Amino acid sequence: MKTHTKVPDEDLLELYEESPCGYLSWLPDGRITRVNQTLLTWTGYTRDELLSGKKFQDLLTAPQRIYYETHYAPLLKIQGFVKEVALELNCKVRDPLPVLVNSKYHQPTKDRDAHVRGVFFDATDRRRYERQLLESRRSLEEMVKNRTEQLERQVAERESAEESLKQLTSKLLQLRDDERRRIARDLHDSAGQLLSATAMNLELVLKENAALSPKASKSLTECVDLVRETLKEIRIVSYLLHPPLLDEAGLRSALEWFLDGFSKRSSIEVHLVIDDNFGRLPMAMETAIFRIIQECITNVHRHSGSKTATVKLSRTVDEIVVEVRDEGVGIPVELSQGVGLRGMRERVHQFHGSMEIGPNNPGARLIARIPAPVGDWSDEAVPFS
Amino acid sequence: MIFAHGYGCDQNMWRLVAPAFENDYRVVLFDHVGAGKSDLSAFDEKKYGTLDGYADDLLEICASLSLFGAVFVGHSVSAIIGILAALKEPGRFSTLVLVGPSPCYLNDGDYFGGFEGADIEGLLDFLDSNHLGWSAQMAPSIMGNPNRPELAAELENSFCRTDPDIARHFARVTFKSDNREDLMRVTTPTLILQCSEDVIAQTCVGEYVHRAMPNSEITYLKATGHCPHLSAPEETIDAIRIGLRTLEATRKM
Repeated sequence: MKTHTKVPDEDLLELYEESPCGYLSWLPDGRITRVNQTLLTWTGYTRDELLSGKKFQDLLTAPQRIYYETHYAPLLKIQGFVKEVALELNCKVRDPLPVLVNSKYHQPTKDRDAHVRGVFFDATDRRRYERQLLESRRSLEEMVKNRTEQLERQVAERESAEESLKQLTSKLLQLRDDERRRIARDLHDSAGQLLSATAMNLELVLKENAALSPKASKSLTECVDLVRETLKEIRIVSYLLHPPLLDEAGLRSALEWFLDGFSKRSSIEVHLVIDDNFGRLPMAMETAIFRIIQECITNVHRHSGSKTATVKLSRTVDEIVVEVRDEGVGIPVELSQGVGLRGMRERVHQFHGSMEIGPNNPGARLIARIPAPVGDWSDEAVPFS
Repeated sequence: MIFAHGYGCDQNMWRLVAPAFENDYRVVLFDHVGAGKSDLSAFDEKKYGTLDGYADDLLEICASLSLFGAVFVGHSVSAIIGILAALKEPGRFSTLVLVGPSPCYLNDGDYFGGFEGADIEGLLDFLDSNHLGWSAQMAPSIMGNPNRPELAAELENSFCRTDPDIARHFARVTFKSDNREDLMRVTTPTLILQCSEDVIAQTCVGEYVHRAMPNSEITYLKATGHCPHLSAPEETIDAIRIGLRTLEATRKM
């Protein structure tokens, strides 16, 4: 069953006039045509004041009139309604009243011109919350911004410190290599030459040792042996400091010489495997690789207890791979934090490479990868003279 | 014929006027960066810190469409954007149609622009109150989602939706610009359409523009308010047609 209860006209009128919201009707150009009692009470205007040619936009402050002209009126025209716009109505007797407005455009009919109907809600409290919300959001955004800036600054400072440390380390390594090379050459050229001359002179004297007393003759023979031994030691030290082969014949020959000598001295058997196509590299890179292998092999001898070790060098278009393996006890903690490993790492980083150290079951394994040199570096490979 | 919308809505503002010219012209509509369906990620606070940034965009559109000697129709702040573009590349436009232009919204000594600095600050403040409903995070995700039009439809006031921060920025640049010095350098024939009772660009402001631009004509419209292309499209269309014809006749003389 359909029920239909008609609301009496006087109730409708009261509903319009005394509603807890304001009602306002206006023409498309803004001229007010109807207003309810609630809105009059809120704003303090009389009905006559509003209906004698006053426009809706006249109730707005200057900034809001800009908004009305640039947003509100165009929207009403384009989409036929505007919802939930926050405005402040100029009042006659009190401060501007914050309201929330919903409005609808009505097409002209035969009885009535085109007009707009608006409903106004008192939004005093709501506006206060919204302000608070906005201010909290702003201050939060400000805090986040400040903190982000601070962190970015700290990160930048740290990065720059790390970068200078890297440069310094690289410089130090370079200086150490140069220094070693100089000492090696000096040892070989001065002390070595002097001792060679001494040995030659002593050998001349030795030819006449029949003229000496047996005691003096024995001392002389011992002297000759001592000088020869010293000369040999100086050569070894000099070559270990900087193998002349590295400059002249390249990494392969220098490693062969070094590992051969190492095996003899330490009785650790070292296998050296180098790709046939390995070729030459820039001098600084060859020196770095030589030093890394030298450091590794020394560690094998000192710490691992391994009886064998393998050194492998391979090369692709993109990278150089250095691998050193042993079958010893693995890497002791104190070694993994030591200066030697850090130095190796720095040498690899100097060429933008990476280095990994891990177990070899048994033993330890080091793999360093260095990007292959690009461009023409053949000049750099010219031996140090 | 290229139409540029002003501060507030987007190219929808021209929906009642632009189609009337489609038979006679190739009609070009666009949204300024930050408005309508523009790519919000293209916004650059520095570039759009002056109206020149917007003028450069306009010229970029002209260049990509190979427009020369086009009719430029600009509303409100876009009237000035068109003037700046015409000064940079005079060959692009044969005629400028300026709807409700104002070279400077702020009063300055003898010059009456209609607003005080405090009014503009008030506007920026007021804009904040009306951006709470659709936050900065929400607007772009909806605007940038053409595959789901229902999302946009759910939101009211979608025609005038702009990114709040960009809208605020555009409002500041629009209402604080002073381009009075640029007017007299324009040589492109210009038609000014002046509304009645326009609080944003009052009649005396339109007349100031007319006096300052040597090669300009002014037409007074009966339409009230700041957007005659919406409130009185027929009158606006007629005024543009007649004005263009008059300027054409003057050119031939």
